[in-house]
Amino acid sequence: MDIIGFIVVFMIFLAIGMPVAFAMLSTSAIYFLLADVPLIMMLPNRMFGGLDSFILVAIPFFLMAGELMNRSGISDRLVNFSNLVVGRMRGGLAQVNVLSSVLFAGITGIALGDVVALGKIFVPAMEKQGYSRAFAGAVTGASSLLGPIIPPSTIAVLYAATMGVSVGGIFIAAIIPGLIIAGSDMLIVYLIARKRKFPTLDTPVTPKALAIGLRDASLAIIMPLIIVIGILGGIFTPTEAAAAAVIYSIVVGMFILRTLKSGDVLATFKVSAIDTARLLVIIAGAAAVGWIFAMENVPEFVDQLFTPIKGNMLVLVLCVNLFFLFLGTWLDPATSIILFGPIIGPMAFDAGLHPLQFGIMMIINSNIGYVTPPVGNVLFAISNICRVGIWELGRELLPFILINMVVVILVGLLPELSLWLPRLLGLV
Amino acid sequence: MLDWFLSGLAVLSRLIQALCQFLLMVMLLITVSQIVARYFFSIGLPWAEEATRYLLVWMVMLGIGLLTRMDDHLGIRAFQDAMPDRLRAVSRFVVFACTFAVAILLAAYGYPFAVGSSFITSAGLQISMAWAFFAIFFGALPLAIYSAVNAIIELIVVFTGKRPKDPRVEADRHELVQLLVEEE
Repeated sequence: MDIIGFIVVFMIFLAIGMPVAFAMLSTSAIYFLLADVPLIMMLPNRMFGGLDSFILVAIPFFLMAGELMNRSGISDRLVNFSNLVVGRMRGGLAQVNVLSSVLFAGITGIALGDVVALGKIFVPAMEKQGYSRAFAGAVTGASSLLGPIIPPSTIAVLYAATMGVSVGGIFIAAIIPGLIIAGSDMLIVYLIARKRKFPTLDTPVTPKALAIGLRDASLAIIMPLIIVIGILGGIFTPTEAAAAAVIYSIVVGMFILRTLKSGDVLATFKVSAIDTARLLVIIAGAAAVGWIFAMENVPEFVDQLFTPIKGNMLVLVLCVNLFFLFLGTWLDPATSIILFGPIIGPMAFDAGLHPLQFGIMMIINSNIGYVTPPVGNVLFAISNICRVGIWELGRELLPFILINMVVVILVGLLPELSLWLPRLLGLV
Repeated sequence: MLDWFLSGLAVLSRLIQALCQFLLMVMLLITVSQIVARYFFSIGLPWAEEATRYLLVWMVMLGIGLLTRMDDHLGIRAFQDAMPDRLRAVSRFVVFACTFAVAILLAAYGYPFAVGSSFITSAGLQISMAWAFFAIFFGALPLAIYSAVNAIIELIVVFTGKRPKDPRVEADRHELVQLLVEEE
């Protein structure tokens, strides 16, 4: 089977609803079985090879830490704090939604966690204040995209593991682009709120409320700090930092907030183990496909394909991003990064993009697929929570999606946007 | 008879869940001990990193079967959802049949993969690599069982038009899958 046949079979499998991991494994198995020399024993070999990585051990820990903080009821507290900070702005509750997501992004590395935790709080509350449900859902969904960008981020860990860059580096590189997106989201909310005359919140800012709010917010902010400072300071490996975050969230939940029961901790182990399997089985499948792509010289082919535009950064960045945007609408970010990072990456690095810069670009870009049909998990989740159709939601999401795209292009064209902070810290 | 079989599947599922839970606990314990040993006792644990890696492979491989039982792998469902019931059942049958085929291949070639490397000793733990490599074989077994059962269920739907539901599977889903909305 040649590579075109491989891709066609893979896409047919995906289209009939086969899980991504099994579409990859089945197609690879067919390829191995049809090969001139017996290769099928590569299947268990590549699966094991794909999973056998110390960096990947960080993923169940990051998932656990987020889940534990969530079960401690941190999201309500972050909302209360955000309320004190931005509630008095025009469209207050929508701004609170964005700021809560920024804080929440520091404790979870996935977008869906954010949507579930915050969507249930914000959508009914915003509707009560006269926002349309579609707008409420759109703000929740758009700001949840910060989860995989602001560290810690599961996708960033996957990128680091796949491309062999440092986890610390990719975490730090994501901070400025992430904050720019957050700022832009707030600006969009402000402009729309002014146009549609959304209300402000008049929550009284008492010293007592402020003290509680600051305490809760710092409990949340300390976690990403432990992770980032721990890794950068050489105190922890990324995996140890993630484990430390788990211990921290257990201490906060059980002894400071006293809202976490030992049963919650036990349940978290179970749920996070399964969540990890759901994500990492894709890595195992991608390891087989990656091996086949390398055998078939796909990276070389891509390199040749892009040669005519390599000299023109603007065209190159646009083309690469259009490609990933298209991929992102079909595949989840983990799949497109693991599968296509190693194919497009070497060509892009050769053309002058830094691996960290390329990574941030890919992460933000493939994230956009979370809120687009036909497979956007976040889009469908909000549509479920708000009971609003996806097209209506899509219309409200459009300005937020556009700003994400603009930032993606800017990250590609202005290296300093992602590299300034890592350079300042001596990471690149 | 059928009920016995379904209860057996549910027990297996419970067993795997407990095992995955336990493996993650051990991984956390090892990683934390590594930190403590380094900072409080100034000793390195050369086996720790390797141990967590192998435990992760085991955890993921065992989890795959469970996810197939609950039909909760990541994938594109949009087209399937748009299909008429029978056609959907046919395509789901193809999906589970392929999954089953992959599981059988993994079991068939995962076994010699592990046994064939049993003479290799791992660098850190100083154990036979077969301990690590057997994850593929032992993960493939429940995957084969659960995908075969799901394939048969889809066949029943194709021929009778009715979807048999097992409350025990629903219970697993309820416990392990973060439900996005409360079901009505």
